[in-house]
Amino acid sequence: MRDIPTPIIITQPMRYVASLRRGEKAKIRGIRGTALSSKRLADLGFVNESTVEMLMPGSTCIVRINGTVLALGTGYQTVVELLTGESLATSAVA
Amino acid sequence: MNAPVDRTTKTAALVGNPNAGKTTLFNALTGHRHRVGNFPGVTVEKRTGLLRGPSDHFTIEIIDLPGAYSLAARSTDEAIVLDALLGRHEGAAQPDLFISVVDATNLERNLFLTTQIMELGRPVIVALNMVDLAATHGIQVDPVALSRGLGVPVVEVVATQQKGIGELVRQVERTMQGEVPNPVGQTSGREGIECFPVAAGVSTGEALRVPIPSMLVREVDTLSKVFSFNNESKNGLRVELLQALLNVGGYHERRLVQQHGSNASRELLQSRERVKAAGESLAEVEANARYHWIKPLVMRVERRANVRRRSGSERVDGVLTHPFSGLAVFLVLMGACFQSIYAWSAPVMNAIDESFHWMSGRAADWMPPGALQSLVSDGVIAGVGGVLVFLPQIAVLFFFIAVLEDCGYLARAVFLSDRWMGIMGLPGKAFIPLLSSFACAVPGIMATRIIEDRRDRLVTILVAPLMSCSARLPVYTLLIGAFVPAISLLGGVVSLQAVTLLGMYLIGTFVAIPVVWVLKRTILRGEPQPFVMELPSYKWPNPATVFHRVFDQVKAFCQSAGTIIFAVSLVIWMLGYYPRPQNIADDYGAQKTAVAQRYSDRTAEMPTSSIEAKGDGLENLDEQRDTELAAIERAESGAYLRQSFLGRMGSWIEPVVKPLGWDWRIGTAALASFAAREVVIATMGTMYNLGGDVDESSSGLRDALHTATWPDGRKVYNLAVALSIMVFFALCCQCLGTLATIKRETNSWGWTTFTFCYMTGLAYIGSLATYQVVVRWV
Repeated sequence: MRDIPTPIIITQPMRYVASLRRGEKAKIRGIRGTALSSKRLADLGFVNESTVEMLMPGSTCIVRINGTVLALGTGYQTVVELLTGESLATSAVA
Repeated sequence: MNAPVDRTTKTAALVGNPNAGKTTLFNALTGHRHRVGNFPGVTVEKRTGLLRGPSDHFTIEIIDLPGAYSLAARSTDEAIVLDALLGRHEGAAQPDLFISVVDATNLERNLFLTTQIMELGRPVIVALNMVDLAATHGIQVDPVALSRGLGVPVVEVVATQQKGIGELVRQVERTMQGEVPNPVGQTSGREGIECFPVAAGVSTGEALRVPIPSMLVREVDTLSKVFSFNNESKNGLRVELLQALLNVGGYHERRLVQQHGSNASRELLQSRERVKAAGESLAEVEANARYHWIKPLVMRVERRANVRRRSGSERVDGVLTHPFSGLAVFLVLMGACFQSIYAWSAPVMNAIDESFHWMSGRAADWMPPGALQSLVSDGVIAGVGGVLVFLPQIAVLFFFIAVLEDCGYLARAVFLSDRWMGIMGLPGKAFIPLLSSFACAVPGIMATRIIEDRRDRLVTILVAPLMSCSARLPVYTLLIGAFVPAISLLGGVVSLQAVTLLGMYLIGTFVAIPVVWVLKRTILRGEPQPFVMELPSYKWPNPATVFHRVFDQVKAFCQSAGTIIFAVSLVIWMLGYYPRPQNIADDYGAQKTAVAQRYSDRTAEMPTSSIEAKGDGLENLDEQRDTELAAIERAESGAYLRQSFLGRMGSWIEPVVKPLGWDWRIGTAALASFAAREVVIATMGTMYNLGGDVDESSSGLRDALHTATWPDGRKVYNLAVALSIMVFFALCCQCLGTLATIKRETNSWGWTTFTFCYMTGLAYIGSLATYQVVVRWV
């Protein structure tokens, strides 16, 4: 069973995949929106508590999630919301 | 909807994520015994084949379904997988068995789809593929534990090396014989594969395999009481309703609304409101439930060596996806591919062209002159040859695409081009088809199959013929050579002729940008789909996969060449051949007799003093006579063509083409080249009594063009007319191979007609503007 989502704290700005730097990892809070494209991302593994790693930032970026390397267009980068304040230790790959 | 099928043939469907090695496994399971068709009503390729190895009980047919990450579907094309699994396609019953192809290097994500298809109420076998690759990544999967966890048989395979195929085939046969029942029933352990009784899936609404929140199950229950599709299995209906409920605006919702009207919309809306009120997100609820069930399972069955090092793939990607070095490699590779499409195929294309010329000539020699001779030699052989000449380019292009795709680079190329293809309003995946179209639109349009989104794919197909293909080059060469002055620009760095040629190459690309813009905002309007694509690990390409890919495309092209193209070639031949007025035959027959008579008189009059001298003289006389006769024959062909239906049509359309600066002869040549642009040169040759064997470098044709006049004595051709013709051929869709391919790929005469009409319209406007501007201002 899924936990009831944590209430959003207004003072803490939302963070999305688009804000990750190269080599930075973060845990996912969830997916925004109800559009089919949002469900598609969730089905691919962008679910609560999964870790996403930015491999190549850009308008179309490359991320790793659960061992899969995915290219994400601009439209998707602001759909994946990250857990703020809990960004994990960054490990620069470069 | 479900038509009865022969039950002695059982079917098994291969389902899996893209890049899970489904097609390689399909080839390994079926050998060469497979055929490629289309799923009914859509443009998705359907591959079916017979399972290798003898079975005493049934013929087992394998269906290779398109790769999918989930059963959620946006378009008809994406709904193929669920529809095929539910037996929704006309003439195809529900498959008896599903083979879930799972990539061992990425168990977690692959099992998402597996858990979905396990709820459809048919036996499932998991083919755990790429275990070798997983081992090199330090990943070990315990198939027995996985089988126990999932409750279905798991067979380890390495499809690329044909390992484990025998065991998979045996497992398929055993399951077909009912030895291993449905996953939602009881089962027994067998040959090291332990199968355990499992709880029922979402299908029964009782104890759930994957703990989908009970309120969601209740909603599906409620909906299933309100809706039912025809003679649907209960499992199928529930799975479909779950997808309709969660995929807002998706394919299944639309279908439900289509069948049940506004009632369906209302019920779904209420159901969704209840889900949201319970604090669940429609987009996430299913994924959360499944992944939270899959994650612990994967932790139990998978062992990962504790090495945290960058894999080879990652290091390579650091270079190949980099904004600068990646782009440089990409441009060099694409340039090499493009060049090879020309260079590698040129000798074979010439050979094909020459052999068809030779065959055409032989046929003409062997058969008595007349309609049948012309039909065989100019209609059938020339028509088929004109199309088969594209085969080498298709083979070379698909060889490259297959190699790049199989080794994993294609996904990176798409990633790199997505960054700037968006400027044109097209997805990154449109890059390869459009680049290919510069060589030939036929393989280019075929290559659009890599674009999943239907609208994006259609837009790409519609603009692909605007790219300047190699068949336009002869037209440009002839007219530029004849009418564009050979002056140097920029202090001798470039010539005006080269600039004109470059302009002709670019005009289609520049016109394509507004065309895409308009199409995407009018008839192909739709919510832009965000881009997401997996970048698979690099690997060596599999020769068998590459071979099959090339072979299938070549075969598909030959089939279309054998039907539509052949038929239209015959019609055009007929229009250019008939009628055959007797007065032309009489007139030119008399001229030929007169020439023959004159030479035979001169031979008789020759002095007999020297036998040797007489021999030489005779040879000279024979040559002169043959030359004169050939000239008469060419004039005769020209007279026939002018009198033919095609010639008359050319005269009729003269008022239409006059604003473009064209006379009726150019109009006729444009009509005759409906099947293939390059035919325009041979037709002009015949028009100007030079015979059909002229090519773009013939000085005779250039001279004829320079001397052609209007009835009032003005020259027909000048720079403005030459540019007008070139612009017309740059933008028109006068290519039967392209039109036949569009028909086959879109499965629609409507889109084919649309492409022809819009491009002809553009060509006319472009040509008109060019002529009117150049004739006034230059």
